[in-house]
Amino acid sequence: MTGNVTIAGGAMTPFNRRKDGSSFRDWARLALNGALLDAGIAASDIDSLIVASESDFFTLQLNPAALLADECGLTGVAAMRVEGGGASGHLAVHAGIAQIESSLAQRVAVLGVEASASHLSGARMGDLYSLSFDAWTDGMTGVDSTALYALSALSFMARTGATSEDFARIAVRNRAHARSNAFAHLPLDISAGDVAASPLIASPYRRLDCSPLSDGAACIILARATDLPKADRPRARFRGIGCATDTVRLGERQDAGRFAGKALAAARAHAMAGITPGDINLAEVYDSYSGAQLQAIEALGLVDDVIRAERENVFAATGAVPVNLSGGLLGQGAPVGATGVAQIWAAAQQLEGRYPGKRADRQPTCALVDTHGGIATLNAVSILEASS
Amino acid sequence: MKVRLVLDYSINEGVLQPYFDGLRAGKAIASRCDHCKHVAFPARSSCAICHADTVSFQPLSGCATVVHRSDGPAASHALVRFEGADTQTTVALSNPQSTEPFGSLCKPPANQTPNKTANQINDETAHRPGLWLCLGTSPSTKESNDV
Repeated sequence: MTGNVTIAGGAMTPFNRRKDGSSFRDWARLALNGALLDAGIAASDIDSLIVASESDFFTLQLNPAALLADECGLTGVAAMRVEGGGASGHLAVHAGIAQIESSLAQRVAVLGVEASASHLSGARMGDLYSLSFDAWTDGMTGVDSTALYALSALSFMARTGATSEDFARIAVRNRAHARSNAFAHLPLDISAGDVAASPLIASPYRRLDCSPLSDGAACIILARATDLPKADRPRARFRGIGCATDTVRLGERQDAGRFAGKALAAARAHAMAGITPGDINLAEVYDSYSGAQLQAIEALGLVDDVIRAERENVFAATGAVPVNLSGGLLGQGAPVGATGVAQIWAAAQQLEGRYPGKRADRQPTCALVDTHGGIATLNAVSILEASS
Repeated sequence: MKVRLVLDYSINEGVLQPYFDGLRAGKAIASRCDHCKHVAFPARSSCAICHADTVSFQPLSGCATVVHRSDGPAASHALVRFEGADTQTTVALSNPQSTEPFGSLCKPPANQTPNKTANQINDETAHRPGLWLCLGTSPSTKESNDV
């Protein structure tokens, strides 16, 4: 990878359960117009729109890329929709990078949007999400997302000695990070005792171990620096990306608690970037559940001993590798198509030294962003650095 | 605006139909790779190990040992290993009050489809192929425990 693809600008809406009557079309326009403003370019400068949205059942709108191109004043641009479950937003960014690297497009708007909270009841969303795994086996049985993550976490705990207290520390810390994030869904001031006292969902997971269903949108503009107006600030750029799948069925994995597909995606991203995991000094990690954050960090290879590092606060803002200073999915929220876009946007702003929320104590120079669909079944990893 | 969408799918099961027919009858039918002999349950249409594209179907005893189980207020699930299978399997537990670490495959219980009419329940139970385990039973005793 040439390292030529920069993030020209970005924007996001608040992630939450909308109660103000606004629509997903409104959120998409807000995010796209905000990103154009941040990048200092006009809608007419965009030649490609890539929309990330997980399911037509959430929006009740098929062919959303064509609709949103029209809604956002981009009629005439090339457009496509990218979908890969929870990784949809991150995969859409990868598709945008490929378009620029191959000179198919010069300035790409990647727009993630999802109405995960306000359109359908939580129970019906759970029914739909349970089709994210093997719909013919787990889906037909009613083994839902939390149960699958719980079984994977139990396997991880048995192998590594991780405890519910370790998981609770993450649930608390990510929500504390979210308290500095004006866009966050769950900026909560909670204790480990609150996590332990929250309702049981699927042991070992309790309500506060789970990320929320959110509404919202996020957009970033990708381009080579030479195709953008001169900026008076550094722009983050992509140094390596990787994508890999794992078996869909948890029971077919050699170790149900190990995210092997994520490890493969990370190895590809590191190889493309020409760096080692030890060079990473900030990460936004896919914490759909508290324990999944530890499983992800293990797979990404960010530290040698993830449990020890967690207990020694390596992943706090003061640590060597701050993780999820945005609040992550647990704190910032998870409007699926927008999630990966917002993760990348948060890491980019940290590298550019202008993140408006919780900042790392030491200015990061190299950040890793990790997103997945299924239970780490379709994994997308990006490595970004600051450019002068 | 308010919209209500009701969709009735009829999904072809393709080469995996023997496996699904087995589930609907409360029987465990695994796939066995014609090349490397890997036994997968749930059955697969191709081998995950050697990637051979042809498998045969092989009945298992239906007995399984629990590896991990997760309990919630509405349902309990487990990762189990069926006797004779080289894979593990995620299942729902039909009698979660039991703490036995073993059980056997059973038909999906009819009461797992709330808010449905009797006809809908009968129709779904007959056609929806779930992986359910009844704890504490062996195949010789499970018939009397099936709901």
